[in-house]
Amino acid sequence: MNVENVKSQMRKGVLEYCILLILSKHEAYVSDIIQALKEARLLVVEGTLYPLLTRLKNDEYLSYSWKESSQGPPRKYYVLSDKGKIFLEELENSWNELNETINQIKKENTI
Amino acid sequence: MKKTLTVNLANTVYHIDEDAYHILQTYFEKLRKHFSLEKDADEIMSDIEARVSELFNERLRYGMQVISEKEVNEIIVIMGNPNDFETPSDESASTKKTGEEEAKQEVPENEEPQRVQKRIYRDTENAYLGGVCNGLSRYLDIDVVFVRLFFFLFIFLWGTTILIYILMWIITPEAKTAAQKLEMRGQAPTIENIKNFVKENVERVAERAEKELNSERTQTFLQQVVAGIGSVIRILAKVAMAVIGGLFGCLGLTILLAILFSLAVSLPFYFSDAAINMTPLHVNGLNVDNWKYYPQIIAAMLLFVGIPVCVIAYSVFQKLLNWKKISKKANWVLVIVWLISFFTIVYFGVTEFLKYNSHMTIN
Repeated sequence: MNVENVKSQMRKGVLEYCILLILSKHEAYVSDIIQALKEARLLVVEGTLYPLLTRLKNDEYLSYSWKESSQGPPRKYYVLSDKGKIFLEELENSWNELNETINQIKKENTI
Repeated sequence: MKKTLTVNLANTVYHIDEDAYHILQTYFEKLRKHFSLEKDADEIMSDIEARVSELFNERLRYGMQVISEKEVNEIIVIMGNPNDFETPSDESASTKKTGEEEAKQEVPENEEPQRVQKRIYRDTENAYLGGVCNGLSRYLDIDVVFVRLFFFLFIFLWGTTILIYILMWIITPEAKTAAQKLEMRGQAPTIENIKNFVKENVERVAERAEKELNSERTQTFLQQVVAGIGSVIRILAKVAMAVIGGLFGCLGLTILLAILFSLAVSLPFYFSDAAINMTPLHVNGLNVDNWKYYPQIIAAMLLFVGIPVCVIAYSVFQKLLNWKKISKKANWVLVIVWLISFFTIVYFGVTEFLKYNSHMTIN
C-alpha cells in the first residue's frame, strides 16, 4: 500500500465524473478537457483520457461533432447527451454522499 | 546530419528525424497493442494521433521545421506509456492480458540480433565518471564491478590506471546514438536491431525524462565534481598554451629581429674589401673572393632562416590573436622560395668547396 497507488486509485475513481462535469457546462474538445483536468491535477498522462472518452461515447453518455478550427484540422467537440446528464446526476449524488461521509469521519476524529 | 521522413498525423504533414520516427512508431505500436481489446481501438488511436499532431504543432511554432527525438520523447512523457494509464479498475483484467501478450510477442524479436565486430565506446548510462569502465565491461563482456575493481586496485601500482583511465576518457568516443550503443554491444546497427533496442529503451527514456522533470539532479555528485575539475583543467591548459605560444612567438620574433639586425650591421662589411679579413670562411682558409659578388647567397641565407621563423611566429600570433590564416597559395609560394633558397645555398656551398679543393690541389 503506497501513497501514490492510493492517490492514483482515487483519481481513477473521479476521472469520469470530472469529464462529465466539464462537459456539462459547455461542449469542449480534447485539449480543453485536458487543460481543465491538468489544472485540477487530476490527469498525470494524457493517454488515460482517450480510452475513457471513447468508452463514454460508446455507452452513449457523450456524443461528438466535428468542427472546423481556425488553426489546423477539424476538431472533435464532445457534448453531454441526455443519458449522460442522468448519469452525471447519479454520480453527483454519490459524490455528495461520499463527501458528507468523509467530512463526518473527519469531524468525529477531531473531537 | 540526420535523414528525415515525412509522416501524416491526423491529416497534417510533419518532417521527422529517422531516430525520432522509430521511437514514435514503436510508441504507437505499443499503444495499439494496449488498446487492442477496447471496442473502438482505431478511434482511440486516431484521437491520440490527432493530439500528438497538435502537440507537434505547438512545438513547431518556434520556427523549427523538423520533429526530433527530443520532441517525441517530450510528447511520450505527456501522453504516457500504457502502464501509466489510470484506467478504471473494471478494465484492469483486460489490460493485464494485453500486457502479457505484449511480453510474449516481444521475446522472439529480441532473440537473435545480428552480431558484428564490437567497438569500444564509453557507456555513460549508469556511469560514475566518464563511463570508461562501463564501456570496457561491455567490450570485454565482464561485469562492470570487476573492471572498476581492477582500475581501483591498480591505482596503488604507481597510479597506472588513473593515467589509462584519463587517456581512454579522452580517446574513446561516447556511445550517444542508438547505432553506437548497438555497436558497443556488438550488434549490427541495422534498422531492425535499432528498433528492438529503441523498443527496450522507450520506457526507460520516458521514465528518465519524468525523473529529470521531477528532480534536475541526474548527475551524481562525483560526476558534477569531475565535470567542474575538467573545465578548470581545460581553462588552465588554454592559459598554459597561450603562455607557451606567446613565449615561442616572442622567441621567434627575437631571432628574426636578431638575424635582420646582424645582417644589417654586417652587410656593409661584406660589401667592402675589409670583409675579406673578417669572414670566418676566410679565416678557415676558405677563399671566398669577395662577398659583394654574392648577394644571392646573402639573400638565400636570409630567406632560408627567415621564412620558417616568420611562419612560426605568424602562426603563433594567428592562434593567439585570431589573425587571418596564411592562405594556401601564400604557403606554397613560401615553400617554393624556401626550397630555392636552400638549393642556392647548397649550390654555392658545393661550388666554393670545389674551388677550395682545386686550390688545395694546385698548391
